[in-house]
Amino acid sequence: MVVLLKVSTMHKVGNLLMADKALILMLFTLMSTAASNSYAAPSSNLTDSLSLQVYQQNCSVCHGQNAAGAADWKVQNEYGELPAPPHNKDGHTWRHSDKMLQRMIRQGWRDPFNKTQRLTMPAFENALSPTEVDAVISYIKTLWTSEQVEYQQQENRRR
Amino acid sequence: MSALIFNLLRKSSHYLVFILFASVNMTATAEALSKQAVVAITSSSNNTLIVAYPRALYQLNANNNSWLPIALPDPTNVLTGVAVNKINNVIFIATQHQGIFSSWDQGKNWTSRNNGLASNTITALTQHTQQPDTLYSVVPEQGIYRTEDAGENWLLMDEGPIDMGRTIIHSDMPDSMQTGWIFAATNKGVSRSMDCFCLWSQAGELQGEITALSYDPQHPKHIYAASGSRLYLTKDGGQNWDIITELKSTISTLHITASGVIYAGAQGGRVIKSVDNAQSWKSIDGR
Repeated sequence: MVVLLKVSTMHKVGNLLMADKALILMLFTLMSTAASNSYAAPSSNLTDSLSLQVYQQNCSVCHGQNAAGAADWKVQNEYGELPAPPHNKDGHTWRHSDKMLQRMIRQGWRDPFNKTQRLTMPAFENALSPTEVDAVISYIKTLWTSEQVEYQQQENRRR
Repeated sequence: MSALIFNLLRKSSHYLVFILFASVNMTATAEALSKQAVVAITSSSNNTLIVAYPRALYQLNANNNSWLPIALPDPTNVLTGVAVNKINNVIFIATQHQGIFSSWDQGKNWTSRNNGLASNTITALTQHTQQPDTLYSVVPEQGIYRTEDAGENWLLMDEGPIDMGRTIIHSDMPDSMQTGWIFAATNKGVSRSMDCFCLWSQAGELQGEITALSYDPQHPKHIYAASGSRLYLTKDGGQNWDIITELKSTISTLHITASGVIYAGAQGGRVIKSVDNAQSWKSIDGR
């Protein structure tokens, strides 16, 4: 009985050790993958909750809770700046490749014909990790039509 | 018998009058056609230009101003635009009712290039400044189409700006989200969009119907626009416009070569050119 218990205990310990090793291996894989593919195509494995969370915490203040953009986004405001556009099907986000979207999120953007020089789209390079950048792009894609998704996939292949 | 002969003579005279009338009419038509406004001018390679009239196409040698006719696919074609791949000299023409054609051999053979276009009525055609196989065309009530494979396939990109006219151009002006910018002539000035077709906006305060549009390849922010007989220039991508000259007739088309020579379509189907930034003009005859 004691021997059996010891064996079973040893199995449990062994299993735990194996589990630890597996976990370490997984973490290592994830880290090395993240390092080597910092801004790879947004992964379909990203959870919806992370994507939505990143968007709501960082983007919704300008682009709207439902990504509908600012009012009158097509016209320069009183500061001579183009307001935040929608990210849903009514905007033009779907016309850009993942690379371009990642760049704009990381480095920010201003329309070259704005009357001010500041970045109206701030740079998030220090605020968002590559995973979070990919997460928010993944979320935005859920707001497009199937034709827009297909067009953007072709842009990814082209550019 | 005499009645029979009389009838024959009467019918013959009717035919003779008809033939005389038709030939006079055709002569008048040909003369009228030869004076029709220039539709488009674009650069080919080796210091040559391609000049399009509604019913004729020419190669113009910029060195000696000699004209060489280029046969069209069909005598009924009415041209509305022309573009050239400067790498391989393939000529593209847009027509009023037969769509777009391309020719590899200076007009000896033409191939239809309409796959994806909603209609064969094309009102404008232009080429990308840096990508030889990319062109843009306009189909009324549809919008602006793009091909990235030299016309094999066209894709509707955008409905275009409000009141879009018959001229669009591409400029490799910097600061685009994609590869450059599209400028479109409208009935109320010039409209501008990055070539991702993200958003059209009015380019500055220039008003009135724009009859011609071109850009300076040496200075991509320099856009030339004609409104009737007035020629305007912007040096900042359309934010501010200055009138640089006023001609005696409506300018129907504009083209600026890589060396900065300005070609324009003027009254009576004349082609005029300026080597001093529109300060003086010389007529190119010999067509």
